[in-house]
Amino acid sequence: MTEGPVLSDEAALKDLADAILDHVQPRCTYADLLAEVVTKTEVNLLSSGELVAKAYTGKAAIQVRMVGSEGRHVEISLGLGSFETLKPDLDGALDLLALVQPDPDYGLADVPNPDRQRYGFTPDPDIRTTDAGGGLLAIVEEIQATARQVCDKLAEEGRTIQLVPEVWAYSLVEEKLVMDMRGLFKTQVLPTTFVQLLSRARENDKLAQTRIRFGDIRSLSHLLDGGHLKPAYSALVCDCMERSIALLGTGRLTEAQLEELTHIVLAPSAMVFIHEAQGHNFEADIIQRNGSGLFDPQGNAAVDPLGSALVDLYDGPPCDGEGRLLADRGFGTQFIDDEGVELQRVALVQQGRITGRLHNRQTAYYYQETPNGHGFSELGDIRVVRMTNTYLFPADRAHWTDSLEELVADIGRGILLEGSFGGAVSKEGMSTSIQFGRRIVDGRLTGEIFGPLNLTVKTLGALAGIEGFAGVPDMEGIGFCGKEYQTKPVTDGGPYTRIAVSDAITLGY
Amino acid sequence: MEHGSSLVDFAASLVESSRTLVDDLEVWTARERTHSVRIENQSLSPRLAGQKLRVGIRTLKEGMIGYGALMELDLKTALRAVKRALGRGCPANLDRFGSCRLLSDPVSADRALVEMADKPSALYEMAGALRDRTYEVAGTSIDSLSGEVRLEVREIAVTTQGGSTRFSNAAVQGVAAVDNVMEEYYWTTGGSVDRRAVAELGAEAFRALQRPRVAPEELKLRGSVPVILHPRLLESLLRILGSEKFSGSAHLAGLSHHKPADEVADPAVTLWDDATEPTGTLRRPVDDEGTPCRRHPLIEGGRFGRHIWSQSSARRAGVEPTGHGYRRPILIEEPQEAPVREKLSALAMEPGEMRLDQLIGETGNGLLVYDLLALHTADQARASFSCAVLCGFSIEGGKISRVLTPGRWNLSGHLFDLDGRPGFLREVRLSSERIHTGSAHLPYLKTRLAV
Repeated sequence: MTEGPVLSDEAALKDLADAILDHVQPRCTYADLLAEVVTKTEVNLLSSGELVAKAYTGKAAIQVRMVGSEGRHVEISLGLGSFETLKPDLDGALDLLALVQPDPDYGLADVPNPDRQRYGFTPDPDIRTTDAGGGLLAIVEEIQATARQVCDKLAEEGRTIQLVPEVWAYSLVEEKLVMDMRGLFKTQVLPTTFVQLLSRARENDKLAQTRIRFGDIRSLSHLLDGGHLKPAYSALVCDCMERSIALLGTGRLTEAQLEELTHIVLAPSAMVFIHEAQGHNFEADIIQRNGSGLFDPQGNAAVDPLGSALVDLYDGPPCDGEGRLLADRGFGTQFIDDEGVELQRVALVQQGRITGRLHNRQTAYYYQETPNGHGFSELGDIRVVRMTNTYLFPADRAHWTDSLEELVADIGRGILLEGSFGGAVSKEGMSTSIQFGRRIVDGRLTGEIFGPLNLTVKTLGALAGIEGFAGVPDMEGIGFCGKEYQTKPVTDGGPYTRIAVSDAITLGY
Repeated sequence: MEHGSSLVDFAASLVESSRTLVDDLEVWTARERTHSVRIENQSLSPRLAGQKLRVGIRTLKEGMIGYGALMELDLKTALRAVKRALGRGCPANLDRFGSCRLLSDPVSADRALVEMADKPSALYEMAGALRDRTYEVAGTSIDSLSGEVRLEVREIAVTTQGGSTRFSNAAVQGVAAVDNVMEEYYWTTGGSVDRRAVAELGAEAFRALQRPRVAPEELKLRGSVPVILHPRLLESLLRILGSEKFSGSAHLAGLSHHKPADEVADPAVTLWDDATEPTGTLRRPVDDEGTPCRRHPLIEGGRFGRHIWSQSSARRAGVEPTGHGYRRPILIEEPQEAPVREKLSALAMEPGEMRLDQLIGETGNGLLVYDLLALHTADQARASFSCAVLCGFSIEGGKISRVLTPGRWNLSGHLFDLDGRPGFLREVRLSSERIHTGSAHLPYLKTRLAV
């Protein structure tokens, strides 16, 4: 990767950072600082039909971490202002640092590769200087037009369907500065573009909804071709609307149908299970506090092997179908984390065995491992261990078919699960709302669609039932992961994945 | 923290400076400080936040509405945002923004809590006491303790060409979770903090869990089962499942088909929303558009009350706004950049006549549920949910008996009738005691849900 660009107002930001670090240095054994400046253009189409176009929004914040003797530590989040306006709050934090108890387990691992300074790339168009909001409005208009076309077509068939599309689209540039009092200096300039469509369909008193998201660490031009959505994205929009209509009046699987299921097959769009049931349990801050279902607080794996030998599990930059890294792609990707550590792809599981975990500098110090670039903050908040792009990948070719049809060919009674409205995790397992399922009967996908289902998966045992994969891994399942009052863009994905039903998996209503 | 005057001064200057550019300008400003001390087992981590400023701008010009946002009280930057907003206007439902007025007796944050923002060591002491008390009671019998003591102080001002309004509020909240299952809460918005109550949170959660665990197959409860919802869970269900069903703009879009006086619930259910409720953490005199808040009926004697309306949706419907227009952020949105959306504020429900122990006693075999996992993923269009139980207890022979094994129990239901099946408000029993969660004042509610 080439050297990244300078920040747009770098001199002033660096001066402020220097002033802060100079001020706290005499009363700290170590201090570092993160400054984030976000420029965004954004459009919302609300369910009311109201269009909200924000040509420009700017936001910025600073996080200062102060470490004292014997592991004492205090962190403070600040708005962006003059040093004089920030000084009273800094002094308050320094006063508290003198009062807090020692924390002998606390420390920060060194930042690897401290000499490289600049990361990222210049956006095109650059929304910091150009109003690119017209492109987002064009996307919304295209989505509205698609909704009208779909409804008109159905009207010709005698059905009166109302589609209510709700759209959230933005393009932003995040500029980041990481410095410490030992001379660390790193910057990153990173554009991100995102579109979400929530399609609600109504026919008489029946209602149904589906949702799609697409985006990447790219400028708005990534989505557009000649001012219109690229065909692949247009197809996703149309598909989302048609599925919301298909879900109108769908039935529920009966108790008997649920009990006879021998397999579930997860589509890449339903891989939130990987993020929730597995990924969070590899976050070393959760491990340290004894909240992981896979490790004890000392970092020992609770089970070995964790899953089927067919399974690899990664977090970091995504890869293509051959396993080659795509270091500059992925909605959850950054080149450096918010502590200045370069993002690494971490093999969490290989051939079913636990092989890694995710660290920020603090947890890397605690477990005496190398930080791997997973310490992130939401706009000046504390830096905690976060996932980026989490995905399953087949460990070998032997159980990886080209087509979904081959994967389901010997399933007697199964269900293909697609889409998710997100999920949540506890120590024991996770729960997610699946958008819809398609029944598999005697080795064939049927046309029977069933509306929202709940999938509950136990952390231990979830990967044990994996029997095979199909198709090219898709790592574009976009989510916004919530942790400690913060939200972070992430993705999850993998190929179509076949799992034998066991007591680790519950599907129901 | 000075009470709001600089926010109003800044906004008034911006309104004046842009008077020739716009037909009307709305400036929403907020100043906030949030300090917390996290507890992770034996470790305490202070997380302070200095003063943060938020400015949300809406412009009206020739029937078009524009938006901008920034995080500094800088007139030059704000004027630039106004001009960019004007360049990207969208069709507006409004001719003018609200007529705000300075209140003679605005809601004011408790002074003792405001002063605590300058002395965060008090929070550190409270978190330390909570941790120490928990381990004193539980010893090494717990796998994990996590929690937080948190102070939030916030001032908000709304200014338009029609005037300004402002208020402030503050709250201290404590939470402790034992073994990642049972959580106990404390909150206050005024007066002295009950430090003893904060210190006991972890110990209380620990005591509640001193029962054996039970999996669904052991209890043989399946199908439609009597379930008593803890007020905290009832609040979450009402907010998440009700957000569209009570929304005026969703009603206009055809996503909420209920009309005033439709029979939607048991006659015992009377539910209202009131941001002016004097003790809660959501207390405020106006919404984010400057519209006065007041008690608003959502369900009265089992019949649908009225939808909630922002300025814009009310104008479209030809009704009065109800004070529910909020800059409600979603996911990575910040409040100043969030569109104005309708939002429920402080909820309250009339209590019933039976004590909780009587409700439990008449239940025989059933469940008492505190928390569900992933409730935020519920189907809002259909106001239905299907989630794993995160925290709950079995009721066996009319007594609270065992802890529901986390992740093994699944509950589903829907707020209102759906596809011929009754909503969970349709046949209920309510406890005579109510719990104030800080943002809602609700009884325990007994209903039937699918297990």
